Amino acid sequence: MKKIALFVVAALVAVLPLAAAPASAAEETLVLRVANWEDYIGEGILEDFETAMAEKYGKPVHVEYSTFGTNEVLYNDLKIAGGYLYDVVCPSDYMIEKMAKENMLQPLALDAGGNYELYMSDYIKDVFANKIDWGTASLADYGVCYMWGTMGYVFNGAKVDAGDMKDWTSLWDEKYKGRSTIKDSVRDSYFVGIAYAKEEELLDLKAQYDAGTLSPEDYNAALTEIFNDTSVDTVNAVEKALSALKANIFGFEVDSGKNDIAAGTIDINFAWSGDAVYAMDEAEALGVTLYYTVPETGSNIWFDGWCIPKDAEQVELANDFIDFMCDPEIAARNMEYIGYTSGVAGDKAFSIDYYDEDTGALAETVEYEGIFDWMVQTYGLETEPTDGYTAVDLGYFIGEGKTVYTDVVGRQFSAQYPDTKTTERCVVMNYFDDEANERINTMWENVKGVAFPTWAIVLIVVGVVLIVGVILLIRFKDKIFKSGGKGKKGVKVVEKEDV
Amino acid sequence: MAVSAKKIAAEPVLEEKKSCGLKGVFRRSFLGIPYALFLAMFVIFPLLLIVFYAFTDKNGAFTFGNFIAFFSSGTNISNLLISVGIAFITTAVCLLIAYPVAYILSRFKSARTYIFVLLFVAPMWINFVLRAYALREILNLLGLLGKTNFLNVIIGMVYDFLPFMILPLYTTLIKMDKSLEEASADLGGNGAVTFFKVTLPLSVPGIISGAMMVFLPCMSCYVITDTFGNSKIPLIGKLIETMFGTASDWNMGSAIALIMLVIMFVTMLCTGGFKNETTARGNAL
Repeated sequence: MKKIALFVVAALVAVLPLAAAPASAAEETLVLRVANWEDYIGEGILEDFETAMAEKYGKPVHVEYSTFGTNEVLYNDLKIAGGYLYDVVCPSDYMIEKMAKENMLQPLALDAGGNYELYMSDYIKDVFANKIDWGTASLADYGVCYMWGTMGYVFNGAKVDAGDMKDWTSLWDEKYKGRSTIKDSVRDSYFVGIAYAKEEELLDLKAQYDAGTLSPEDYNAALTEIFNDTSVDTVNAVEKALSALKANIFGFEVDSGKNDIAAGTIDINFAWSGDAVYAMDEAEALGVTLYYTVPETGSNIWFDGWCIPKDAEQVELANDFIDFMCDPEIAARNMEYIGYTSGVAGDKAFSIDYYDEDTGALAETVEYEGIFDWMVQTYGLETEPTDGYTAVDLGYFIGEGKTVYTDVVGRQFSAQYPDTKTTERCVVMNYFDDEANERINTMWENVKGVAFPTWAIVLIVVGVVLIVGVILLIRFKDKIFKSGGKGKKGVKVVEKEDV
Repeated sequence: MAVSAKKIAAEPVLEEKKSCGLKGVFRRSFLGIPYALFLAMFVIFPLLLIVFYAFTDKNGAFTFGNFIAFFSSGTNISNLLISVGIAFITTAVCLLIAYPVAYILSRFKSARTYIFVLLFVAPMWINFVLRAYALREILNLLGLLGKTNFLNVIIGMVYDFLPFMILPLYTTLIKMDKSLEEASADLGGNGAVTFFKVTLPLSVPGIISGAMMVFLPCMSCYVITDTFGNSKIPLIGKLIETMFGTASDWNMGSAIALIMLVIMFVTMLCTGGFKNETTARGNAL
């Protein structure tokens, strides 16, 4: 133990000068502290930002980049710091709402005529301003969309019937026993539970929507209400559904699923769209074809956004950073690296240099007219009707009338850019208040845990207490009666220590 | 930690007595100051925070509510029992595997013994996450992954904690006075009698310190249940993580952590973990 302590001290001593170094240079250098998700930014983006800003401000700019693994970790970090910690952070929709309500963020004041205004998709702007709105403010007041996506199934085309994947309830099907995973995170898996518990209602709504008697807006609003229902009855029904599901799935995961499905350990993975792209790429290298689909009774759509914490020190530079991230070139480079979907959709000509993976030499430079052109070239799409190609309506995102034609349906492109119909059945999961949160957390504990019958608990507890009691009694006896001393070496020391 | 705390607390007293005559400016006990500071900052202060959070509600008011809520949930108590059960089984399996190994190693007369000891200790030098992924793939090849979750978790736990059991046993056995065994043989005791009447009782300190080093961390090592049990086997450590993570309930999380602490304390008390006689623990580290 002492050795460990010494080691820690030595390590601290070794690290301290390093930690102190940037502080002394800070007078000269502008330092922007950014916190983002792990593996969530393209290569060289930060360096490019530093270069661009050094030009603008006439002095060196340094980005101090940190990563976090869950929204809650970021929240805890900011809460514990209590003051300045980061200048820009990237939480998800519900966490932005929670932080804004707790006065942890400052309202954004982006420059007019900046990249956000010019290039951010109107669809995203509309969702941020009107869909996620808590009365006193909306998401648009505090966050600028970075990446967004849906949740759905990644499945192995050779082993799973694609027809089954149109429905969440297939997870409960004996046919797929031990072949699927769901998320080890209550917010995500709650959706699946609701979809099962309220299947009839959802099918009924879908029928009305398909028949055209329910407008897309009303359909989406009705789904939003159902999927965000946290009433006691619903939570109980979800608990029942998920407890039953637990016996039928391979397991819960948040990270291992994308590798497991690529490797063939599992056949169905409840996944985020960006992870789906990653899994499909990985599986391709192994000769396995995976597909991504968003079940037809409705699913989750989520948004991660750049926000500025209340105590940020470099607000202007933070605004520059957000603006920089909204540049179509940067957005495209980020997407190529991480596989998720940027909220940026606008047209601005740019080019990307591609390097040879082995030699590191420049392989080619490709010119793009904008995000739409990037999409078309990257995925080999057609912009005119072509034989054997399926039309994908992207009007909602790119702009009125933009339809592309693809010969590969249900793969990377579909995961990255859901069509209009898919987004109409995808709803945002709201921020739950403390009471609802506690309810679904307790539900989740019960789902994840195993409940012994009461008699068994009583029996075990009594047994353990008895054993512990007897052992302690013997120990105390030892202490009392041995004081005469058996003459055994070391007994005295033992007594002294035991006091 | 508790052991070290006690030692540190006890040492300065002894030192002061000894150094009376030295009238020196520098006392050996000063060497303990960095560690005492470390202890105060990273052990005692966080512990006080945990106690504070455990006995308060979200608004900071005093309450027993967290404990009442924990013990009124059958799932939570079952979780706790499963954790203790897994830790107990792991410790027992580790002991059964480690004892013969340590015994044989300690009886090797060759200078190459160290190589064998090294073989058993070397895995500790490789990052556990890496080893865990490797073992997970092996279980997958054997067709066990996802099917026998409980068994997989035990395999993973034993795999991870085995070196912690072998080392203290080995150090105890190698330091044992061999003449006692010879005496037993001289007096007519056969191998079994010698082992059960001399060797085994004398190695009890090693068994205890090994068991403590396996049992206590086992209860909270949820990475293993996540990796090998696909998060299907509940562990109390995972519950604490969830409380501080997605559930955002620091008070409940602290209360559970405190309950764990009490269980560990009672375990130490039962096995005599606080006693000075189990010096093997110190040797092992």
